[in-house]
Amino acid sequence: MTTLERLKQLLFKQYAIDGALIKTEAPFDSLGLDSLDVVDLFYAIEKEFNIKIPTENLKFNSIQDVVDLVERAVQEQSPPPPPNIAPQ
Amino acid sequence: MNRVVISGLGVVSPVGNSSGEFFNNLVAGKSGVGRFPEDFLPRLGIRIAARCAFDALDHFPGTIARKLDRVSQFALVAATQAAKDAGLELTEDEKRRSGVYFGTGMGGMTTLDSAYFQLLKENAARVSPLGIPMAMNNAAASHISIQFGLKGSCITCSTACSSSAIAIGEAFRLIQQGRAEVMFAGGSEASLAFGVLMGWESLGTLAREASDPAASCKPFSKDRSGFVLGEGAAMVILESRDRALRRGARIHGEVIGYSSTADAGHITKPSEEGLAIAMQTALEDAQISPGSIGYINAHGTATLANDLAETRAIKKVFGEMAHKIPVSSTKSMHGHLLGAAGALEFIASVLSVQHQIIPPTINLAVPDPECDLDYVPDQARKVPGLTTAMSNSFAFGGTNAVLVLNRGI
Repeated sequence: MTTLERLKQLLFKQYAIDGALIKTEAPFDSLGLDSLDVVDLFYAIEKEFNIKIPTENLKFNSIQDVVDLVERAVQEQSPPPPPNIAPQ
Repeated sequence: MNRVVISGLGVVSPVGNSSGEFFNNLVAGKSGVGRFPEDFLPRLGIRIAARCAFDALDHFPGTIARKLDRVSQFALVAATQAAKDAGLELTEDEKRRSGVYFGTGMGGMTTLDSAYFQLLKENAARVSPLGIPMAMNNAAASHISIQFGLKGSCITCSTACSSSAIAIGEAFRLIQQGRAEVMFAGGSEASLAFGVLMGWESLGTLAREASDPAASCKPFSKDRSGFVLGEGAAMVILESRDRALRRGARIHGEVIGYSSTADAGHITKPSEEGLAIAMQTALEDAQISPGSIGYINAHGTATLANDLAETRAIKKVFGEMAHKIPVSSTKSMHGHLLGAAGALEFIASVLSVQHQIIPPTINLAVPDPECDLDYVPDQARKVPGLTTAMSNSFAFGGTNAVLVLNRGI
């Protein structure tokens, strides 16, 4: 499942927002979430993607910005691959 | 001064989720106490409670329910019932002069319990940002204010087991003094959380499970062993009698007296003298003689300390008449709703006067020579001509509240 699809699932589960109506280029505000919903959503995103999003970094305009933010955090915070130990 | 009437009732309780069902079950002597299914049950010594048969999704969409602690869910359902029962329609101007006085002892305890669980047991990096707005004690009252657009005074009273009786009494004062148009008054409690149950168990006040769990709470019985924790909400609509008559509202009863006193004694032990002063002060406020009281809904927790102190205090206040006045503890059936208990028992008293039937104290099987009043054991009693009742609420911390009501005709 893509990041966008997982985000859409969260938005539907928590706020009953229909994923089919979500346009990634649309402003984030078009979702109609209030400030409490936004912190609640980011808490859910952190759990869903197993990442930490520093709250001071919450800068985004469109829904695509949120997708990018999440993907960047996943990439930066994913554990390094195990070292390749050659058999003796 | 305005006469203050009760024009709407709302109940979510372990013995029914409407005022009618609640009262019918009390009259039938039906207990809401039982074992309850929770993961943490094996770690508790006492595994019974009086739970409400309540599914939030029957009342709210999932997107709303997840933002409301159970204590607010109960409160909103009871407030909605009460407003509907009262046929309440407020103009914008009236909404500015109407409010909510609300009582809860512990607020959103299940929310707090699960946040601590995540933090301490699961080492969570964060807890839900909804935790604080869901758990805070005033959340339920605020949700009522928001739902009904009430812009007058919105206050949450937290005086442990007298919280919602205090809320009703203080709302009565506002209407009496003409300082509010309509008040939503009552309380809610939803504290059947692991940490809370464990805390009460440690304190040694909870009833041991009887062979029939429904028979575990035994107020005024020699074989008493404490109270059973309950949950639920009870709300009333208060307005001036003139206002209710003008709009042709059905009047359930009239609040005629209220006292709020403090024992200034001990943090948990009730004071016989303090309880007597509370009842005496309420009678004086109602300007009636002790002989006018036809029914006392006792605080009746089924702890030894309360049973003895309340019985002795009633004798002190009512003298010779004490033995002639029916006194019952409906907690034997609906359990102890802590902060919501006062409002729930006030509604039981209102309906008792309205229907002229006194609900019983169930499980009173072994007479206690120290408790020798007429506790209406096991069978409800028809009392034609019953006009006036007293509802007692005493609390940890020593804040007592007594409400006196009559038929309001």
